[in-house]
Amino acid sequence: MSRAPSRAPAPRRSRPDDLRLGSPRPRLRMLSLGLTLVMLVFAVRLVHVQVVDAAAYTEQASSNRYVTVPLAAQRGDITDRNGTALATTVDAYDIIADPTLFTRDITGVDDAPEQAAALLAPVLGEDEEELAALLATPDSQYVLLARQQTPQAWRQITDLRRALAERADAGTGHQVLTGVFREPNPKRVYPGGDLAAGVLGFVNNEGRGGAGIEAQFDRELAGQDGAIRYAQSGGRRVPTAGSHEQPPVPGTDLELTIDRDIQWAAQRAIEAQVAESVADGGYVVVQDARSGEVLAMASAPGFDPNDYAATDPALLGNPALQDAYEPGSTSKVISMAAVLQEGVAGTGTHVTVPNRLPRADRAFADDHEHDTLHLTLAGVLARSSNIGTILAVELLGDTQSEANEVLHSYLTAFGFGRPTGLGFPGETAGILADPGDWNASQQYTVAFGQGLSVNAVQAASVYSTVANGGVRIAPTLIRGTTGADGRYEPWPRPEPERVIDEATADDLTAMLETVVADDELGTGRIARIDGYRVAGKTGTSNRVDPGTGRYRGYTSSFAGFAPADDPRITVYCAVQNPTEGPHSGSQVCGPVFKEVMEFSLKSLRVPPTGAEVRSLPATFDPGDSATADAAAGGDASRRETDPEE
Amino acid sequence: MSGGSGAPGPRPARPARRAGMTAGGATGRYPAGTSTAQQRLARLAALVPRGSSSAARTPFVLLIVVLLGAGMLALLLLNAALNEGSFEQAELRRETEELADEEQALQAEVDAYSAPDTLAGMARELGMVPGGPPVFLDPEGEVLGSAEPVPVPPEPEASPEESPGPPDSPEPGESGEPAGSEAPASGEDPEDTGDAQAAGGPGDTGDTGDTGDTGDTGDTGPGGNG
Repeated sequence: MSRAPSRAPAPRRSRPDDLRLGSPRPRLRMLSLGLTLVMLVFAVRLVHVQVVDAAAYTEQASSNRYVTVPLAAQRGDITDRNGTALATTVDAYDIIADPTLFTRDITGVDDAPEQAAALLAPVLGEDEEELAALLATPDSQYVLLARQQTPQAWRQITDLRRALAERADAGTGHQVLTGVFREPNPKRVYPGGDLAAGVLGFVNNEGRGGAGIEAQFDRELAGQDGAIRYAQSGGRRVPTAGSHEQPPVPGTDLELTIDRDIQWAAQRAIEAQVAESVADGGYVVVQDARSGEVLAMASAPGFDPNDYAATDPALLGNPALQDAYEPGSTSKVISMAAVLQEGVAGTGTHVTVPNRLPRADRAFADDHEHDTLHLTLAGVLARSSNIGTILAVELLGDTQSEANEVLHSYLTAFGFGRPTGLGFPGETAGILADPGDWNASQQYTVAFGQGLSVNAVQAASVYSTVANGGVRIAPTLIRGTTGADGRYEPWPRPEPERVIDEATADDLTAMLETVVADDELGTGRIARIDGYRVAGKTGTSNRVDPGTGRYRGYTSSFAGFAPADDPRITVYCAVQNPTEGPHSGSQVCGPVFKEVMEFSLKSLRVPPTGAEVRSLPATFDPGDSATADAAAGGDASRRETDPEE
Repeated sequence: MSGGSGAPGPRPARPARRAGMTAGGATGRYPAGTSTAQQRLARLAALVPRGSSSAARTPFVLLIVVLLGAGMLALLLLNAALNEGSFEQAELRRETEELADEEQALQAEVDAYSAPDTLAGMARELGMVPGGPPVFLDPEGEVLGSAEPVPVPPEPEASPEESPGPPDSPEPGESGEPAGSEAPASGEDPEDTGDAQAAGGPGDTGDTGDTGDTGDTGDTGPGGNG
């Protein structure tokens, strides 16, 4: 077109005659139409790609470029009351391998699995042949060589690999460790080993709490996993491409009421005693008498949560909360509390105790034969007389069923037959039947702690209640939590419940002190601690064999608190089925009580109060029994003259 | 379309109109009637501004090139810096991880040493025994509790010959009681403890002949390392 002006007009005019060219206009229009159509197609496609299917394509594009890496939340620590870690989490790696990288093609040698196994076995502490067999697994790209190895072990492997690489470069060796990898799998560590293992529990292979506090507070401890998503190239992060990070929320740290040192002392003492008595097991519970906080909860035999898989699964619990057994004489203190609180007898009330007491279908006896005893109520407890206790409890109501009702209400108030409030997994509430369901002999045995079952913490809590002036504070195991934000939250304190009056508690304390202090009748003399006033009670009960459901063997126990005039610490000890040596509560558990109590007093720096030991008269002269006591006391002595003597 | 192309009318009219326009634009020099294609070209060429030669364009192009180049270079450097940062970050991350691992390993070691079991074992090796009931000294110097030396456990040979030392309260203050309360070292030979205690050596005590010193030497017997 642009050339048009240079042409002479003449030939143009002649052209239509011989060669008529089509006008360019239709062609142009066709072309532009075509172009328009093409552009339209492009535009539609553009809109389709950019608007309609945008998300799908973005996704496809980014699926290779972006990687999402999970960020594991750090599990919270469990510490004792002083902040010493009882359970913590450290970095660890599962060592894995891809057997396809151990073939001849890759490594250049035939026995690559064997060579690799020989190198890895000492580092991983695994059997060499097993490793070689794993590495030679056909048709697999994943084998787990070892679980939760330390970072140091992994570094040793990488060092080995580097050394091999150098040798391979030099042509003097073969790289056989190409196919070894690691996967992070943080490890739960219990620095104290079996210390407080029953309370703590363990963390299973999936990283969830398997028992104890670890299971009870698994959700809080676990925290919330996060994830990071970023663009990568050749395994490296592309800095300009932007990333999206959902940071993990670390788990809550738990602070227990346990005192590590007291726990250790308790655990050592009970383990030694259980071993010495060749017993089935034993428990020690140490409680702060004023706050209800559990300072130690030890049981034997224990287990090491670092290696729970190698332990007999039957041992992986917390027997101090999960075993229900008949408490025996240590629960006589509740019968006495009921008698004193109801005002039907006082500490000096005279009780004449015959050698046998026929009640229901049998003749009740004390733990050994004796002539008729002339005991005060304090003496009944000091001497731990079953007959005396039955006689005293009979005063609680006009009829036996009324007395049963009253006793039952006190047992319940002291925490028997209901959960401890700890919410511990697998904890037993014990067995306390309704008074209406008590059978003929049970009506009498309950008074001295047979025919009902409790766990060790419930039994300890009774003594803490008396020590705390009759106010029961439910036991607690958690002192506080430290959340992800680093803020410490004290654990809510349980509501105190008044069970008996302060005066009653004081009388009971005096009676319990007599048990330890009375030189003649006191069954708890072994628990005396120089310089301190100690209140305590022994217990030797017939034990229900968990296998047969029949009475066989004994449960020996000792419970008490100190200092008696300003109680700070309650210690409860029970040993199940001692078969070697003595089986009485004072001889089996008395020394344990004394050892743990002395240690606790030292640990908590509890000074002696310096007050004189108070011991109530335990016996009376039968000559002036008629004048000495109130109608109730007289009633008691009248009643027990009925039987055989 | 065909209709438009068939009509010859409008075609000749165009030059005429153009001529008219140019005539109006440059009247006088080139009369409209005499204009040919040659003349028109010349005239048009004359209209092009002579000043805008290649000489004037060069700096501008250079500027653009420099700007572009600088931009590209800056971007490159920026990217390089970022990437370098990324490498450094990866390196630091690795270092952090290593240090954290090391810290954990050391912490585990400390925990192992400070575990009550280990401590008790080490104390036993030093000849210490678990103390009995605690004894307290109140601010007035009065002793709470009874300060009795703990009986020595069977294995090491006992040295209680001097232990009657802790008197109940003949000499208030430093001499008897605190030593008695810390009885645990008695597993050692009394002469050894005496040496260790009187750091100046036994000769010194003899020289001075001071009553306080003799009191001290007497003290080392029951007190051991107290």
